[in-house]
Amino acid sequence: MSDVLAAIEPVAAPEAAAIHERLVVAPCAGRFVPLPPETFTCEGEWVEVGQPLAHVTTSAAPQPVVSRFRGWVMGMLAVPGQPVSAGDALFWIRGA
Amino acid sequence: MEEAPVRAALFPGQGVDPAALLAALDRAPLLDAASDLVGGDLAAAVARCAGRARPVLPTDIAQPALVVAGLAAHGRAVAEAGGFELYAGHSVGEYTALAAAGAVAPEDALRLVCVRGRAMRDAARARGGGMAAVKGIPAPELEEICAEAGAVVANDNSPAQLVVSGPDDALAEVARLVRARGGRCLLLPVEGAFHSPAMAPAAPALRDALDRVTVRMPAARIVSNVTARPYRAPGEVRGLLVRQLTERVRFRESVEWMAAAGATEVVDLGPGRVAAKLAAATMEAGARV
Repeated sequence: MSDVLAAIEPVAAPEAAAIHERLVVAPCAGRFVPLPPETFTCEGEWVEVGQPLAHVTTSAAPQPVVSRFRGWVMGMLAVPGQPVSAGDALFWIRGA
Repeated sequence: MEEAPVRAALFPGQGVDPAALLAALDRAPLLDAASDLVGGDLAAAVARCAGRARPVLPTDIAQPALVVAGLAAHGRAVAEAGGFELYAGHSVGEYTALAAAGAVAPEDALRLVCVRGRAMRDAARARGGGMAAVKGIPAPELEEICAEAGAVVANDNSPAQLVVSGPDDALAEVARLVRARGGRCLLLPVEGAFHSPAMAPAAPALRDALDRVTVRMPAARIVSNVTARPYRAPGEVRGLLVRQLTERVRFRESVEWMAAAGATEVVDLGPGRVAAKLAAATMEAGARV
């Protein structure tokens, strides 16, 4: 072991780290259609668990995109009207 | 005989689009002086932020930039259509209003907002917190929610928009309660809990800076954010500007006072149209915004 490494004191206790960032993902493949801004805006809006944010249109019925998290919507990560695959990140939420 | 028009000038606060602010800085007369005061290229600092998604302009950059842009627009407006009888600004926009009306020299206004911006930045870093806009909840109900959550109503912007300030946990609790009552809550892209007790540490530096500045009472009337009434004396300006750091911006009431004082035309000198939209939501029919 080098002198430098030997001189490093072991950390007494790990620091607590909380990660509050969350992603809402596409429930299926299709075309991404966010809700209108009168209903929901991605610009910092507070959302609750289960709140609709968008839907993904498919050849069958549109699939709703709902938040699984409570917190501030910090950004929309998909382009409205563009195709998405199942599991693609659609919204960035800063959890409370 | 037709009555003379009463023109009112409005200046926005930090809620403006950074891209609009950057455009308004182009060839502004005080840009070089402001860059000297902030110790760097002010327009370049705004440009770095304007290109980002969900940009948050550092308050020590945003404040002098807004004053520079607002005074440039005021100079053009006066040259084109003459002066204004009434002035008001939202938060830092009040400094632009004071300089535009002639209550303080433009260079002094820049020095003041540089001190204010740095002091508010430091207070925000020390205390944390933020601001959120609330829609769909009446003011008295929001006061109750804030009291319960540990936040304050920081801006009374229009009949349709109130803004709360507080620690992050308190803002989340406000948002939860607002949502539960059918309202909406939007986190604002600002650095701290402005116009709340969290800004108290910024007061001494601003008070010192104000004591070194000459304040006059010009012919035009300038409406205070804190009282929603015109300033009456230089000493009152100094005192209320310090109180404005920690107290509510009563912008809706300021616009209502302007309407009652006979404003026939309200002009948002920008950047952007934020102040005009807030005023339009407040003004009675008949005034032209």
